[in-house]
Amino acid sequence: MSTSTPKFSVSNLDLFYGQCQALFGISMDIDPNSVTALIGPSGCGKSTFLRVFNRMNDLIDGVKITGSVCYDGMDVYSDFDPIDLRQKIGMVFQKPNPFPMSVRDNIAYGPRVHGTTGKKELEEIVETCIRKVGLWDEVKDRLNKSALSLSGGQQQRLCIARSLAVAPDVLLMDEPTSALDPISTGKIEDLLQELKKSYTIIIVTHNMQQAGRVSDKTAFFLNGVMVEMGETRQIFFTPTDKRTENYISGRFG
Amino acid sequence: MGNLASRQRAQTAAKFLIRIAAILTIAMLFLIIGFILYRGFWSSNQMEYPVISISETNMDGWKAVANRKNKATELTFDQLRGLFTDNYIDWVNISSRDYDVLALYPADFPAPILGISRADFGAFTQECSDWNEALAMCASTPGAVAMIPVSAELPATCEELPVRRTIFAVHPSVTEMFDNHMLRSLPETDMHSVLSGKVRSWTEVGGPDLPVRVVLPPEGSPLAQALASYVPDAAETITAGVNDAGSPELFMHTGSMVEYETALLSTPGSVGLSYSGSPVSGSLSAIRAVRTEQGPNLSFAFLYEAPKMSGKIGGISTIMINTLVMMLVTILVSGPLGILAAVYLVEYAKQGVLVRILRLSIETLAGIPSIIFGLFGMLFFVNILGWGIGLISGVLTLTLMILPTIIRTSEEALKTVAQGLREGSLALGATKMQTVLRVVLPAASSGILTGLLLAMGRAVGETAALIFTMGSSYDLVSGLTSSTRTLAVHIYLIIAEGISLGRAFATATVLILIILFMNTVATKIIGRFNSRSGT
Amino acid sequence: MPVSRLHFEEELNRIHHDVLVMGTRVREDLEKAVTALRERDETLAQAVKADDPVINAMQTKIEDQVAILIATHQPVARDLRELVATIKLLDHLERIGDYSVHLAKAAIKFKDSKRIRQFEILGKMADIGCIMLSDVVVAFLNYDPEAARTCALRDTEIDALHKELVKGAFGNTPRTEEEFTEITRLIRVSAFLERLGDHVTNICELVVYMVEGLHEELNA
Repeated sequence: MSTSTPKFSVSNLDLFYGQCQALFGISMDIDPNSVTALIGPSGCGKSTFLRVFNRMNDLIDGVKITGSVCYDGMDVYSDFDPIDLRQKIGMVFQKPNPFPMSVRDNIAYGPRVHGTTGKKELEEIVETCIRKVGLWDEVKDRLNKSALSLSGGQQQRLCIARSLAVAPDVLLMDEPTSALDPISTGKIEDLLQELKKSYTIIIVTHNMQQAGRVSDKTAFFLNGVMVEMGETRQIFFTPTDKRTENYISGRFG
Repeated sequence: MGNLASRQRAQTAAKFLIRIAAILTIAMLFLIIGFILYRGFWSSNQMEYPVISISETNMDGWKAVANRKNKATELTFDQLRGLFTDNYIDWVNISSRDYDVLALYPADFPAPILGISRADFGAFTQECSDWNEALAMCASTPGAVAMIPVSAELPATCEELPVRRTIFAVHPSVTEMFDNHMLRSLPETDMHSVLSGKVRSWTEVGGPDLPVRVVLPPEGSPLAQALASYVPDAAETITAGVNDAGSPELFMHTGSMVEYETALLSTPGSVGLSYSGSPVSGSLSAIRAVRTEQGPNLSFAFLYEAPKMSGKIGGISTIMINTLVMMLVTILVSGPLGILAAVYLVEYAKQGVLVRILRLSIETLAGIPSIIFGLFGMLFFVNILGWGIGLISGVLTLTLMILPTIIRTSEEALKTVAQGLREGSLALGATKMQTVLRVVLPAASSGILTGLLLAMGRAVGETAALIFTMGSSYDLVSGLTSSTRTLAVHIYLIIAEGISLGRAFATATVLILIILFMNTVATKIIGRFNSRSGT
Repeated sequence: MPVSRLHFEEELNRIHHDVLVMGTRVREDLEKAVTALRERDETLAQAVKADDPVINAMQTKIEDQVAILIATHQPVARDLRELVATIKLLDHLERIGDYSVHLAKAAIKFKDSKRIRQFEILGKMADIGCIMLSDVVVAFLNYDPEAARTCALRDTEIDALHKELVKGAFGNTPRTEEEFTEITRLIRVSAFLERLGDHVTNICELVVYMVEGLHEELNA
């Protein structure tokens, strides 16, 4: 159990889509260099909650947030410019979304957009990030080919590499393997174990076994409320709340 | 089982219909383009001449020669006479060459051969001491024509000009009005048939009810030789002495020119050959010959020569350049405007009432006929803003016309870009502007380009709206307010001013080829965009 | 409720049913063995011995069912604890079945013994054991940790009776080799019954683990 300052500290977070409330009084801490899984039935607010961390909810009209979200001690909404925030907090989406460019340009996109232009520097970043996600051997001869020519699993790993290219320290993952086959899923789960040594990862998943396999801590969401959060071992073996027990035993959802 | 059979029948019928529709469409396409290209490359005109197609290079021992640069292949007798009597200032009306006429003749040349006297010679003629001098001058002066003895040898720069001076002469009774109709011209094939005795009555060729009486010139006379060469198979009929029982003599033999001319003048229904300008031809009627002249139409010269005299002669080089300039400026003005408007509508605008009104306006504008844009342009750009009829007014009118199309297709292209791409870019910390410029626009580029191509196609084909706003001058465009004519406008004006159908087709062919080229290049570019983006 | 959960619960019910059948059978065998001991009935004893393979077969069958259910449904939390506990329960039941056999064998050997007092104690111990067994199987199938805890308390009685028998066994100092053998045999049978009580206590602990997730030692 780490006693260091939490990477994220959420306090009494409410989120409204116009008049409709989607998140109710969420409070939690996320430890650094850990994998935290957010589980719960569809529509329970876990993806919405994930997007609070990197302020992707700002892009939707009429979203209002009360409460505080702190990242390394500073408030995500008042102490950060969203652009800087998103460089530090990367996101990987459910459906792989590589840009219609070459593999190399995909990875270099982030650094370029933030001002890095040196050709050698970019080359280094490209190679380092592709190696980090274990994709180097598969794409080293195809760096100039379109990213869309890769398989689904490769594309998703590419998207992860792309997020790493801007040197974040948090990775948010919204059901990253739900569109992939079991082998690709396995590769990405292995990757997460490696990545958590250097990054803090929050992953939304509807696959319980995956949460059990990859996460250190798990939080169970239901209807916009966080019902229970704890060590994954405890949540999956001896959950405290009956609702958690029912969900993970498949009695609903 | 019954269901399966009837379903299969329906499917076969549907497939058949679809195939028919496709074949019809493709056939129509090939028909239209093929016809235009054919007429563009190979012109076919029906010309009417007072003289028939017998050309001579020996007129009483003299022949006409001309500088090769004149590009005249043969002359009618009237034209030859006209060259010596100042009827022609230059060769434009004869061979479309812009060279000044210089008619040369040796001192001993008898003017009556041309049916005129020395006094009738015009200012463009020049007497030479002998035929050698005439020939030498002709060889070195483009635009020159000379009368020299038949036996003279020609230098390389001169060519013989055959002269047509034979007319199809008939008794005036043949060309009288009957039934509100008058026989004025005949296709040369009909003339062949008449002269070779295949036609009995003038009614068979559209004339009055008179029997055909072919008067044969005296044997050995030049006219007889001409006749023999014109209708070779008449010889048989003549010598066979064919005559239908009960009908008046078809062929009338004569022994001397006097007899010949008398026969022609006195026999109703008579027909024979005569020389244009000869005394007897004055009392006879001449039926004009209609012949179809074919020849290559579009040539390289057409592409690099500038038009002159309203396009009657010359090529279309300046017009082509004008058209390209117009296309370029229009694209440069309307392209960025339209694309940026589409970007605003899709990426930035709050989807409320204002945006809906905007979209409705664009849709409406897209459907307005182009002539109305022309009217507006004429009123607004030309008159109110005072920019006059010129390039800028035309380009702006065109811009208004094609902007809705560009906005609409660009909008669609932008909407097609998956939302996931935008999210991915923003999640990396890019600003909205960076996302639009670096991800969304490139991803939508092939669709946007296609839209631009479509819009350009519409602009290139515009005629009426452009005449009122951009003008009709065929000189090279010289500034933003200079009157400019495009290829499509040129085609319209050439036909409207009755200048030349052949030239219209040639211009149409060039326009089609330019569009084909443009489309191919653009498709290749779009293909390259697509392959780079991996779709 | 989702269909897959219904399937899971159907399978679980089947396992419960089989556990009840096995538990009942083990208890019946135990009762028969005790009766055989009391009345020195050889036929009954043979019947108990013959039933042992049936008990063993039941264990393996239910064990396989449990393993398959884990593999196919990946249960977590209470479901998982229940299945893990069921496997261990089967082991304990099978051991108890073995002890019944030992009792039956002893019954045959004690055919001509005169030690009335000790047989009575053995009978009492076995009775308590039978009741405990019934109670704990019911507590297991009803997910009732309190009933299990109560049941476990009775093990002290069996322990006390065992001590009493051992003390009293050497009342009259044995003289012949035959008498030694008899005493030893008696003590051994008593030990079996005391062990039986321990096994049932273990099952009670399984019930607590299954429901509350705690490894609680009952009756230490």
